[in-house]
Order: sequence, then structure tokens, then C-alpha cells
Amino acid sequence: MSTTIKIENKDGSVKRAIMQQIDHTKLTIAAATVAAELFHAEVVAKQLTISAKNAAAIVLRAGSQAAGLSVISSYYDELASKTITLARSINITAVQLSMVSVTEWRTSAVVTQVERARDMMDDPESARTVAQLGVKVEAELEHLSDGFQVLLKELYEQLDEVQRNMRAIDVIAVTSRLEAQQTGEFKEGLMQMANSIQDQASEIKNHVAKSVSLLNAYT
Amino acid sequence: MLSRVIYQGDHQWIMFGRDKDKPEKIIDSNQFMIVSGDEAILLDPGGIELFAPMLAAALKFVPIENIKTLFASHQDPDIISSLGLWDQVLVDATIHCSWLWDGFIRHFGMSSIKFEPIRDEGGSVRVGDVDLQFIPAHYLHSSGNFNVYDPKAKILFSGDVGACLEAPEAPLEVGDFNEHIPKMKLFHQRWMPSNEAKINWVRRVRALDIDMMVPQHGRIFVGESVNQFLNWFENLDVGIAVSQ
Repeated sequence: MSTTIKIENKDGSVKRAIMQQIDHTKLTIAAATVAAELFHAEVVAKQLTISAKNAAAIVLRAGSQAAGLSVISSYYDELASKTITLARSINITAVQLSMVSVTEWRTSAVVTQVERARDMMDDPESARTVAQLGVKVEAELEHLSDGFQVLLKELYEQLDEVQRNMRAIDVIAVTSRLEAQQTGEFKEGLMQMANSIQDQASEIKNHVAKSVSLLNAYT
Repeated sequence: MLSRVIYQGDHQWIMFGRDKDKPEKIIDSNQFMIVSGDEAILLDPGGIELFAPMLAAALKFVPIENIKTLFASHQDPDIISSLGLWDQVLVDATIHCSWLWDGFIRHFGMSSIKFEPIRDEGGSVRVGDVDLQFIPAHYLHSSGNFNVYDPKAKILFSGDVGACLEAPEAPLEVGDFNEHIPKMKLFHQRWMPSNEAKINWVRRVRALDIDMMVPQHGRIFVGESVNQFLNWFENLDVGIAVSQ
């Protein structure tokens, strides 16, 4: 569709409309991919809560030897639960962003078609009417674009919050390993648990980093 | 949008639907994706308003470049009005649909997707390692209409046959068949125009080995409810608008 338009219309305004259309195609896919990435991150975050609960169980068994770890294991749990909620929320925002992007994409196609119609008109009065219609649709497009920016900002903030949570888990995992040294027979289990929690956090970070990189590429 | 794996063997069937966030006056529809290896086909990918949630839901299972094939059971907007948008995001994709609708569904916008007409007698397509059969279902309800049969998974995608309109919170499967009848009855009597076509379809579908029949709207039929549906449908008088 965009190729046909390019051939028939060579003025600057139509070229801009074509560019918008191409960007929205990629943006729609990017937002949908972010939703999918965060769906996978949520699955890992659920595993993370299980790991946090397992860590808490070992800490409980270790008793006074692991007293320093009891607060840490509840932090894990809290951060993992927050991440699940955030991942769900990001999923919703990303789908909304994808929907607004589709609407913008469709509306920009209307702008292009209205411009084509105006170019085809011989009667100046009718051309003026169509031009007014074009102004109205462009205003709608601007409105959609504002809404898109709000959602995009929200999405970046949510993604950033997940990354902050994961960085906090990283720091706690290092402290956990140090504390685990003091736990005698429970040391091995707690070290493994800290490693596993850090691996899961790293996996979530990768999903988020991929999402941010996708959004950066198309916005 | 809800997504659910309904078959997991050496390939997957995934059902999408029950979208509680869809615009209120748009009817709910089921979309299906079959994934085999690094290829996927979308069956009746849906209307334009569902495109974004459908894309997001599909990408949970496969990357976009793996969606190479679309199938449209017929030409209705709830089936394929999203075509113009898929056309912009899929690369090197093909749509399979009745030859009858070649010049019609292009009105939804189609410049890069290739149209592969299905002849009236039916046909087949290979997706990854799976061979899918296009089963003629003409006049049920559209004049050029196909179902998709997967002999390996023993699933029949029956399009509008077996369909009913449900609330987003409704169960996915038909439970008590008799309780389900009132939800389907008027839909089939009014939408399906031909008793002859219906009987012909029932006869051919009975010859298939089916574990699951999945329509484009409403609940899916599993096990015995497939036979119960065929028996009920066989005896239902359809095309009632002209006789009333």
C-alpha cells in the first residue's frame, strides 16, 4: 500500500504520511513484543517467588545460624511479588500502546487517503471541504500521538522499576552469599539458592533490556 | 486476550479469545494458531479491532517472522478485516481462502501477502511438519467456506459451525450439551441457509477422526460432545428466515 502511494504522490506531505505508517507498523510489533517479553518475565518472577520461599524455608531450618538471612529472604519475596505485579501491569500498558499505535497507523493512513482525494479534485470548493476534513483527521492524529507518548513514558517508568528491583536482588544476593558463610551445614543450600535467585533476576533483566532496546529502536 | 494451548504434541494448537477488553459491541471471536517447528499459521485472525491484542498474544508463542500463513474460513469482517494490518507486519506470508473471495477480501487491504485460492473441492497446506486439510463447508454459512482439519491432532476448526456467542467469563469447553443447545440454536437456524449443505457436511465430517471441534465463536467441543453436536445439527432445520 505505501509503495503505491509513493508513486502516485510526490509532494512532501504524503512522504511524511508514508514514514508515519512505516514507523507505526514497527512500533506496533515492538509494543506487542514487549508485552510478550514481559509475559515471559512474569513466568520467571513466579519462579523467583518460589525460590524466595525455598530460601525462607532453609533459613527457618537453620535457625539462629542464619538469623541475618531471615530479613533478606523476605526481601526476595517482596521484590519478586512486586515484579509479578509490575510485569502484569507492563503487559497491559504494552498492549494498550500497541492498540494506540494501530489506531495512529490507521488514522495516518486516513490522512494519506484524504490528501490523495484532495489532489484528485478539480472543483476548488470540494477540495476545500476535503482539506478541512484533512485538518480534522490530523488533529485527531496529534491527539493520539499525545496519548501514545503518555503511555510510552509510563511503560519506560515501569520497565525501569523492574530493573531497579532486579538490581536490588543482585545486591541482596551478594549479601546472602556472605551471610551464608556463617551457616555451617546450610551454607551449600543457601549459596545455591542465592545463585539461582540471581540467575532468575538476570533472566528478567534480559527480558526488560530487550524490551527497552526494542522501544528505543522505534521511538 | 486469553490464550490457551489446547493441543500439545509434536506441534501446538493455541486458542485466543474471550477478550474482556474488546470494544463492547464487537462480538467475541476465537482465533487459533497452529505452531510446528519454526512455522505458524493463524486461522481466522480476526477483525481490525482485535489486531493489536491478537498480535501481542501470538508473539507470546512465536516471533513474528514465523507467522508465514493465514487462513480465512470466509470473507466476513470478524474473520479477516485485520488483513490490511497483518499485510503490513508479516513478511513473505500467504493467505489461504476460498477462490470466491479473492477479489473481495483485498478490500481489507492486501499488497504484500500472497493470495492462495482454495478450490471448491478443498485442498491442503503444510505448516512446519504438519499437513492440514481444508474441508469444504460451503453455505455454512458463507457461499465459499472452509474448515481446517488436523488429522494428527484430530482437531477440526469448524468456523461458524458450532458457534455461539458467549460472555468473556464463559467456560472454554461445552459441558452439558443439552444446556448448550439454546445458545446455538437460533444462530445456526438463521445464519446457515441450506439444509442440503448441512447434511452433506455432517456426512463428510462424521468420516473424520475428531477429538476436538473448535468453532470461531463460543465454546469448544471435546470428545462425545462432537458427536452430540453432529446429531443435533443433522436434525436442525436451518434457513428459517424465508419460511417465517
